[in-house]
Amino acid sequence: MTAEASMLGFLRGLALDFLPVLSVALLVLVTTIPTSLPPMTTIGGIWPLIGIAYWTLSRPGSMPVTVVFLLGLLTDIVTFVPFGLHGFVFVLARMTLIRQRRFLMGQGFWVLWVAYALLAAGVYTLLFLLTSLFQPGAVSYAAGLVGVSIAWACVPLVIWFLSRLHDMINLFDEPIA
Amino acid sequence: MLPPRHRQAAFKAFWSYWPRRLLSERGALALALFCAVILMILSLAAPQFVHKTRSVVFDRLSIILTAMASPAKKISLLIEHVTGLSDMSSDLAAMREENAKLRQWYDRARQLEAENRSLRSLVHLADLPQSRAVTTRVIAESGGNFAQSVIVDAGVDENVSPSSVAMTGDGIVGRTMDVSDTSSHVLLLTDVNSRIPVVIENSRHRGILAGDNSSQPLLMYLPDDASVMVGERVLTSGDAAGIYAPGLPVGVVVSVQPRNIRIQPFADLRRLDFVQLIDFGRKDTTESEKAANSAAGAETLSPAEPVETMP
Repeated sequence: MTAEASMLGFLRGLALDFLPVLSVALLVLVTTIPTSLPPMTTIGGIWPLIGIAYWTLSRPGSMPVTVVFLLGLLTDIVTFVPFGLHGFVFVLARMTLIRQRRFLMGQGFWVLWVAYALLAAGVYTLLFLLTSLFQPGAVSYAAGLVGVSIAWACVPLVIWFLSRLHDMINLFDEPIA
Repeated sequence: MLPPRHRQAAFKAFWSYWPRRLLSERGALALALFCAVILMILSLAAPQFVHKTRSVVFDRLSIILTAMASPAKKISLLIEHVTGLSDMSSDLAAMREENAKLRQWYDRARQLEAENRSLRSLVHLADLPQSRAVTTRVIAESGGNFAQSVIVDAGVDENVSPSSVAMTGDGIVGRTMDVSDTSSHVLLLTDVNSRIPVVIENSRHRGILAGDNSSQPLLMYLPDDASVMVGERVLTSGDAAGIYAPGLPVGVVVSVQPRNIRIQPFADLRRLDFVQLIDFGRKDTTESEKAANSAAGAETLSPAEPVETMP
């Protein structure tokens, strides 16, 4: 094998393994950018969920359980919630997506968008219930739904960005001549 | 007891079974859920561990967060600039008017300061402790409705004290919770864990300002006979062993209902670019710590400096 081919192989491995994870990590960090939005309009855990859902459906191998758990842990850290909260919820969300993958893969964008809304609502409800266990009455459920809706409205934009990244990864995935 | 041959076989069977089992999809899923539950229990049982870990991670991430916050801020400023162009002339007139008022207040403040100084010397009142202030930039905020916090890019290296009050020119923002080498975690006064002893400016009734993750925290534990009016100013009372010096501006009463008095903070918590972390010296520190702090050259303010706002 030539040096060129081995270098290409290395880059390919890097792209296949890390780009999906990095894209979700970026979605986690994006929620920490200081904005002038009122409170309750950003639900930290809902944004990385878009990435987790996308990659779990399109490239399940790039989102193994351990990676999803660690991304959840990163989300816990940056959103100042008890550790393990997002890890627990994201792993369950991934399990649900894997079970429904065969059905969802054959559907158009609109069905997927509705499916994401259901998933996000479920994840938010679970997050709310778990947070309420730690601090009863600390969070208003209805107010947080605004944040979930904003994230849901931004799904097409995030999916567009992720699909461009996916195209790039597919270039690396082609067999090396 | 099993003979050594069988023991070896059992050992081999165990190690060939469990790692495979755990590495399988279901095994990994069960293990992840189990770890998540353990971490949640650990967060409850040992919050210091959580704070420490969070500080270390934010320390490592501070460069990335600063890099991400900068363009976002520029975009936000650009949008504000473009949308604000039409209001420029009316803004200018309002600012001129405000400036004239502020000049009057400045003269009045100088006069009161001199009077205060002479009265203090007359009654031999001890000087207020000197405060130390560090101005710093907000690099991240808690993404979500489960907590109200921000991360600032100053920490132990910049001499930030763990018992600092975070303020803007308008009023109190919150307090530092964890201070790591290059960043600090500031708990906003709207967070559900925030409790600030306060006093109503005119009636002098004392209470506690309690955050509930909404933009307008609650005023609690007022005396039963206290009458509170919308528009009254709320200041820190400086009670107990808290870190807040007395008289710091907090907010204004915006709604009064039975058992539900809401305060609008003076500081605009949605637009926090820079905050000042002020240590009012309200906690006992050892002489060596004081010496170390002064040697590092943190800016020193007199207590009357910019912390008070004009009505």
